[in-house]
Amino acid sequence: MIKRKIIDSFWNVLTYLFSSVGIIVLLLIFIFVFSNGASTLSWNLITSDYNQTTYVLSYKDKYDGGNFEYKCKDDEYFSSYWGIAFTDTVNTEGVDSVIISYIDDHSPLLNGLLDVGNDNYHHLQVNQYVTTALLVGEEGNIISCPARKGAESMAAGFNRGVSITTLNLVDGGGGIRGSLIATLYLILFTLILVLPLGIAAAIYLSIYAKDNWLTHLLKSLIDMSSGVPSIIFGLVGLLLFVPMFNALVVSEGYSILAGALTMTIMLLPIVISTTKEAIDVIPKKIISGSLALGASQTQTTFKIILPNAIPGILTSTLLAIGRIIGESAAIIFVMGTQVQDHVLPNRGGTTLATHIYNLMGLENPNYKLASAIAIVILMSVLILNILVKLIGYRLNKFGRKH
Amino acid sequence: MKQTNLQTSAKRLNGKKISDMIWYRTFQIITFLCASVIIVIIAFILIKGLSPFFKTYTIDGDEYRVNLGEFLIGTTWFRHPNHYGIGYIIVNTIYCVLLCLVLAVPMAIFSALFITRIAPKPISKVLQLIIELLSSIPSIIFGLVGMGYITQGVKYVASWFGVQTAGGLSTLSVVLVLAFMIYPTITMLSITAINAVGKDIINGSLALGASKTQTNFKVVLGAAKNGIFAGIILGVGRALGEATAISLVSGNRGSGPTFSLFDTTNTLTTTILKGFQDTTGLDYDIRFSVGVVLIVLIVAINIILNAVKRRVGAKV
Amino acid sequence: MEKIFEIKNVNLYYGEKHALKDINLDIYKKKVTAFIGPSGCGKSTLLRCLDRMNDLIDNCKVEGSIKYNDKELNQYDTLTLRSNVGMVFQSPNPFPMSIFDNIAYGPRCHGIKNRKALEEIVISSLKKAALYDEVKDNLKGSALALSGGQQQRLCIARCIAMKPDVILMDEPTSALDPIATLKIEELINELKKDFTIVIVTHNMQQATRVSDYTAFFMLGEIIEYNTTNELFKNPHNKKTEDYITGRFG
Repeated sequence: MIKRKIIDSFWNVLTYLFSSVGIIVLLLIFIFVFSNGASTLSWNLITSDYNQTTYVLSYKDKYDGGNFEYKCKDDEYFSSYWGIAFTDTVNTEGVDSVIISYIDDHSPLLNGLLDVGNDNYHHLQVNQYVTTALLVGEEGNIISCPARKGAESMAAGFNRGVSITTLNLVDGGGGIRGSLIATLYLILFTLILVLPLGIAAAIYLSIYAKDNWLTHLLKSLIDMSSGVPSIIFGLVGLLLFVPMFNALVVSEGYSILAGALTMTIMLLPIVISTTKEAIDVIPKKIISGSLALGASQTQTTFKIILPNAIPGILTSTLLAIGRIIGESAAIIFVMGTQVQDHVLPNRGGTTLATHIYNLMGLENPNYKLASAIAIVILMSVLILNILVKLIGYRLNKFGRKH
Repeated sequence: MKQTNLQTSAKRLNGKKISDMIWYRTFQIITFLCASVIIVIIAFILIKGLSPFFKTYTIDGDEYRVNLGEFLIGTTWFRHPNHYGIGYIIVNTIYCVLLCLVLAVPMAIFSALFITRIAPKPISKVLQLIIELLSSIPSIIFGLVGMGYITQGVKYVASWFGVQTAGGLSTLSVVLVLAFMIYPTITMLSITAINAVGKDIINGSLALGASKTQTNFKVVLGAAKNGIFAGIILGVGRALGEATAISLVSGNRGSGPTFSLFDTTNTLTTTILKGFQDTTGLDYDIRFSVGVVLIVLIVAINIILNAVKRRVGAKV
Repeated sequence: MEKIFEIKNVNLYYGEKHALKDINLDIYKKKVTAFIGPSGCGKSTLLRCLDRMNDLIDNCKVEGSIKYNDKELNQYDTLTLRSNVGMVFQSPNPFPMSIFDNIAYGPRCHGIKNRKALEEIVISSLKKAALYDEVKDNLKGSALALSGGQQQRLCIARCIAMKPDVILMDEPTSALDPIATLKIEELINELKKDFTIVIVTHNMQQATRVSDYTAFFMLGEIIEYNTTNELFKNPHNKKTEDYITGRFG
């Protein structure tokens, strides 16, 4: 008896141990992603370009100084001479930087800075990073204000300077707007293709197809492609779809369109099977009822079957979106790994997931930005999952078929 | 003769019949298209993948054609001079997947048992949610965490043994990442299988004086083994096909095979992925050949595993 | 006559529902006692109390005293109790294992590993359950391949392998055809030489065929308890008489 209790407790302990693994793994992921990414994540990140633009500006004329007034918020430091305020911040690579947080409407810097590179006047904007500034003081002394000395020292330096020799400005950098838009484009185009095709096939297989060997073959063939790893789809996309769009003179090389086609053939099985399940759950007697009233098969399909299959179609849409957001291997092959700031459907680009891959491939992997993107991805996937569950509970009129 | 609204005119009827026909054909054609996807995939990968063995390439002025035998058995993978051999890569791939199964399967089965039979209801629900969440996390994030945490961990562990690693990129990292990735899949299917075990045999076992633990391990797992095995097969499929996550932690080994846990390694998928961006000619085509081998390997393993499943299931 | 179970003032509640009301009953050793009565009147519930299978049901509360061999039931360790008081269920529930493994399961769980010992137990249990001749050539075959009647006898053999004192049977033949039913009833008559048997049955005629004592239940109460002969020939209670003569079912 005691021996049995000991053996039992041994197995019980093992069970507890092994099951905690799941929680540990999840915690690991979340801790890593959040600790690295949370600080970097900001609205700025989502809306700015990935690639940086650097400006070298100057204000050569001597300026007598306006007497600007401005009520500083916390951490803001104001130069009343020039009418400009600076704030300390951390850029998307986690480096301490200084950004311009306020420019007075009458400040000469607003439109008066000359771009040394192209001889145009630069329109100064809030949220641009100042890397360093070199000013000249009253007595002709040189005042140097590097960003690492902080915003307070920069404001003080500006107050002592009467003209600006150089002002180094960095705009954008480390933003994910491009990847975000590319992801959205990809989702849009893929859904436009995969939903009609998938629903049509589901309707055919559920309703029109006779129960013979041919139908079984069709079903098997469709199922089979769900066992193919995504990297193979990538290869096929590279082989077929990329050249196809090139030949149509729509694109040169990688394109989001090719990506959409690739994702379409990848997602067809899941859309078809989810929609088919939704259709199969509709009680046969409702369909018979419609036909018995003299409605044609087509009318029955569109008026009775499709509307009742909407929860299933919605579910398959959400599942598809989830897969698209998470897919990396297939997309790398047809859309490339170059981050685009100006996203066009006929050009390649990175989605959120492949952007992470890109960042990991750099000489110095940018964990912070990658983690920030990972947070965005995780949140989206989480929301999609919750939505799928909600649809399952709320909209299913005919009971769940497990 | 007055025609009431409820009677369908002959014209209307015909219209309905024609539209029925059109839609029927449309749906049918679309379905055939969808079914042909897999055929197209296999056909094109085969064509492109077999070309290195039948075409001659000119590289740096030399004419070259890959020897099929050398390719399959070879132990190195170099671009210059062309020494493409995937023999060792196949071995490494199978090795990594096997090891990851050794980790993931016990974890998954115990977790499933815990969630369905031992944990109190509220904890069980929470754990199930966690597992579902885990299974929907995209693989790239596993790769990210792998590069960030797991490689560091492996580096640390390796230093205990006094072994040098390439910054933590190693077989062990690959195995860990894979194991964490397929663990939720196997767990979820095992949970379904265990829940499907009839209450009657559970009661029967308890009525004979068996303890809960004995019942769980001897009767419940035995009755659920088909479903659990199906989960394992699914997990293996996922592990064999995983590309980006592993490529971040594997280190891309040029020769092999290697069985040491702390050495860098290579799998079929990472080979396809590595450096594909500026390749042309033979180096480009050869990736399709690797693709062919990958498909063959997956099909072969699936057939073997399914045969084993049938034998295990029959031995009731 | 020796009493093996003494049930005194037992009340059982499923949550709010008062399922067993003030039950007082003695079960005699090496006799067959039958519980009869209309559906849902508590017969199976009381049966399940005797091997504490009710413990597995949430919000089931039992008050009163049930003594097994002069000791309170809840003073026994459940695993020991259940190896002495076995149960056969309404629907045969063989494990998805071989015939041999099914019967050896119980002994194995209790620590018997020796191959020869297990073989002896399996063969003797199968013989006692009148199943041995039908399966002796195929002990390694799957238990699920047997017919319904054979599966039920397998479950009885599985139970006997534990060498219990008591076998509880919860409507053991309700899922079987008449021929299988007859075989099991014959078996019960044999088994009572070695085991105390308590059987719940819907079938009054079955009670008359196999049992020595019969208790008639209605709505959670025992209406009458007597030797089978007496109960059926001279029912003391009008309700008993009405039930036996078929005025209600």
